[in-house]
Formats: sequence, structure tokens, C-alpha cells
Amino acid sequence: FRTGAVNSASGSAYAEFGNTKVIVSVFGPRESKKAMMYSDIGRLNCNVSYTTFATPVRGQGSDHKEFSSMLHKALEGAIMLETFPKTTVDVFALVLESGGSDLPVVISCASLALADAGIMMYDLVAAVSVSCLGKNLVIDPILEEESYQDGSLMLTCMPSRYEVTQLIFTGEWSTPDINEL
Amino acid sequence: MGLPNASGDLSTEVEVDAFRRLFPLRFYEKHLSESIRPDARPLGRARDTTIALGAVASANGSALAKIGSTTMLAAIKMEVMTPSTETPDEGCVAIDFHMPPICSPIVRPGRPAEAAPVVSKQLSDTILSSGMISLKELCLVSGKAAWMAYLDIYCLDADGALFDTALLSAVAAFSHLEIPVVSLNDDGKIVLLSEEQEGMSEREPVNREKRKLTLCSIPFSLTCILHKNYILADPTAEEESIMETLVTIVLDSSSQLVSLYKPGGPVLAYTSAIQDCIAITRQRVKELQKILEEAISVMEVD
Repeated sequence: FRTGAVNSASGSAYAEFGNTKVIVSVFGPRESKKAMMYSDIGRLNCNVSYTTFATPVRGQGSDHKEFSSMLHKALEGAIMLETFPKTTVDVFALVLESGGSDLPVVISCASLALADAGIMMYDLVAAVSVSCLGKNLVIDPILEEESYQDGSLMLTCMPSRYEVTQLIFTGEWSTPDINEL
Repeated sequence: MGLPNASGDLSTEVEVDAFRRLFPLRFYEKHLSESIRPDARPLGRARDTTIALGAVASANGSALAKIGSTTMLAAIKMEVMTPSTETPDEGCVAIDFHMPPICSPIVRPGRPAEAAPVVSKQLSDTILSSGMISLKELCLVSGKAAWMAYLDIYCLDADGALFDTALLSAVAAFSHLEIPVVSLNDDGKIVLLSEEQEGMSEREPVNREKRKLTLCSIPFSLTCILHKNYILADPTAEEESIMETLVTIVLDSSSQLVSLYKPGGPVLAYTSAIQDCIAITRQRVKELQKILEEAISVMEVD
């Protein structure tokens, strides 16, 4: 983890978890565009994109559009939007190399970048993902493990307040496994 | 020049930062008359430059170049393709320059930056015309298979001198490039040999070991700003936005001129100004060559 990676942004962070490398910059608060209506609370705008060399086969990852909205939902609960009415905070993430478990790394890195930018938050957001491979639960899977998984869970929470901001389940799970979590 | 006296009085009362925002041109001119710039550089000196090779493990060749705060990451991926019928002996290089929204507050996610396609075209023209890479080296089986090199450059932080940093990172990535081993399949198709298969394969590999490209006449560049009688080398984004006349000069390692680019601007460039720029560029080329060689030798030690 490192902050201050990008000089021209209000706040930024770079994170490397094994092979997964992500850079996030935060710009703002800046003025909302005129097309957006007046709002008492601030807005959050997120965008996640991949480089062409992020995956072993050159080409765009197919999931990145939903990642933007997932990042938005994860951070929404943590930022105090009332402190910057009428303005927008932009969070941009760029995944340099994808080694599995991308979105949790992006979320953790984004909350660090927001802190670096001085945006008021209730707490830092941490995220982790777990994959189910047959009977085993694997935490923080790498790319190969992800391709074999039967189901996955991603959990984002605010540690100090013991609150969960987002929970995403995909795939097949059996009930005893869920209880184990 | 409306208010020279008034601003003289104001400048003693107003803080430096505010003066810099409100009257940027006068702020800079006060510095230029002392032959220095706000970040304490003399007019002809470029910012600190670093190159790191092999930044991206999954690409065949990669490099991260930084000039001051401007950061660019270049990565090359090789794929096999069939060459065109007019040039059966040559491979191909595709150069693409991206400015993702993280790099600067001006870039928005929906609309690509204005500067991106300009720099992209400049880069591909410079690299292809400088003769750094001989396309014939990229050939595998004449007429049937050749290498296609995809060079992607991402701007991670934009603080002026985008073209210089991009060219430096592209050159460094090419010097780090290793062409992977391939062999002919039974169908006559080229197949990438991964390292586990090498011991087991009975087929003759087309090229025995990973090899590097031979680069001749490597191009290096320097961007200068012309403002009245001053020439500023290696501008930052702030300097670029207030003083608009840029000149980019690309020289190759034998100090021959590869390209000269001056996209308009309010200041006209007389021959003497251009010759001064070329002299500054020549010095800079020597510095850059040294830095690149150091980076390569550090890699080889590993």
C-alpha cells in the first residue's frame, strides 16, 4: 500500500496484493456539472477500468462495467456526503495487473485514496473475497483459483464500527457453507 | 499591460500562492528575468528522470518512465499473425497511447483527452520513421507467420512533457523486450511454447531461445517552450498551460534529427531559437542515453 502515487490528483493510492496491482485517484470535491440537479448532499462518481495488459490474454476484462457500480455502493455508506453539498467527488481506478480478487483490492485502495484526499468518512472500508471450491473455502483467491470456483462471496465492511456496507454472493452455495462464514 | 504598478503594490501584500493563481504569467516572468523557474531549475535543465524496466510481469517487455512527476507505463505484448501479401517478410508494430482518468483532473471517463490521439500519432510516426526497429526481425516463417507487437502506453500522472516521457518509456520497453519461443504445430500453425513444455516437445522450435530485438538509432526527445526570448526545457503542466508555444525535437543516438514538431503558438520560431533548442536537446540525449544504459545494466545483473 502506498499513498500519494499520483501528483496531480487530490488524493491517490497504489496497492499491490501479490500480482494484483491497482492505482486509484480521487479528484474533488469539484463542481457538479450543470446538467445535474441541485442536491443537498454530495455525489460520488466512480469508474473502474482495466489496462489492456492486465489480463494474460490481451483484451478488455468483461466485468469492469459492473465493478464501477459495485465500488460506488461499497463506498457510499462510508463517506459523509453531507459535508460537501452541490459538489462531486470523482474516484477513478485503474487496474494495472489482474491476479485475481480484483474488486476487493480496488475497494480497499479507493478508501485509502479518499483518506489521502482528506474526504470525511465514517471509517475506512476494507474488502475481502472468498471462493468456494468444492468443499474448501479459499480466502483471497488468485486468478487460477477463481476460474475453478463454484461460488464466491465478497464482503466489504468498516472494521471499527462492525458494520457491513456490502455483501455479494454469486454461484452455488450450500447452506452449511454459508453458516460456516 | 494594464496595471503594472497596481500589481507591483499587490504583490507585496498578496500571498505567493494567490499571486501564482491570479497572475500566473507575471509570476513566471518575474522568475524568468532571474533565469530561474519556480521549482528552482535553471531554464535549460530537465527534471529528474528515472526508468524502471520490467514493471509488468505478464507482458513480454515493459518499462515505467518518470520525468519529474509525469509517469508513463509502457507494455508490449507479442502475438503471432499472418503478414500481408505485399510485405511477407515483415512483422508489424501497433502503438496505442491511453490517458486514463486517473492521470489528471482534466480527463473525464466518458470522453478521451484531447492530447491523447495527438501524442499517439506523434509516437507512432517517430518510432516507425526513426528506424529503431527493423520489421524484418519480427518475421517467423516468411509469408505465413510474423510477430505483431502491441505497444500500449498508459499515462499514470500527467504533469507536462507527455510526449518525452511516452517516447522514453516506449524505447525502454523495446530494449527490455524478449521474444518468446515458438514452434510449429502439426497443422502448420505456430504455437507458443511455455516453459514446462520445452523439455517434452519433439518438434523443432523455430527460434531456440528468447532473444532480444536489436535496436539501432534510438530516438530521444525534448520538449521546449518558447516565450518571448526565453527557452524553457521540459515544461510542467502549469507552464504548458500558460505559455502555449511548444517545440518538440527528436534526435537519435547519433545526434541526427529525426523530427521537429512545432504546433503553432503565439511565438514565432526563428532559426536561432530552433538551433538553441537543438543544442539543449543534444545534451539531454546524452543524459537520457546514460540513464537508459544504467537501467538496462541493472536489469541484467538481476
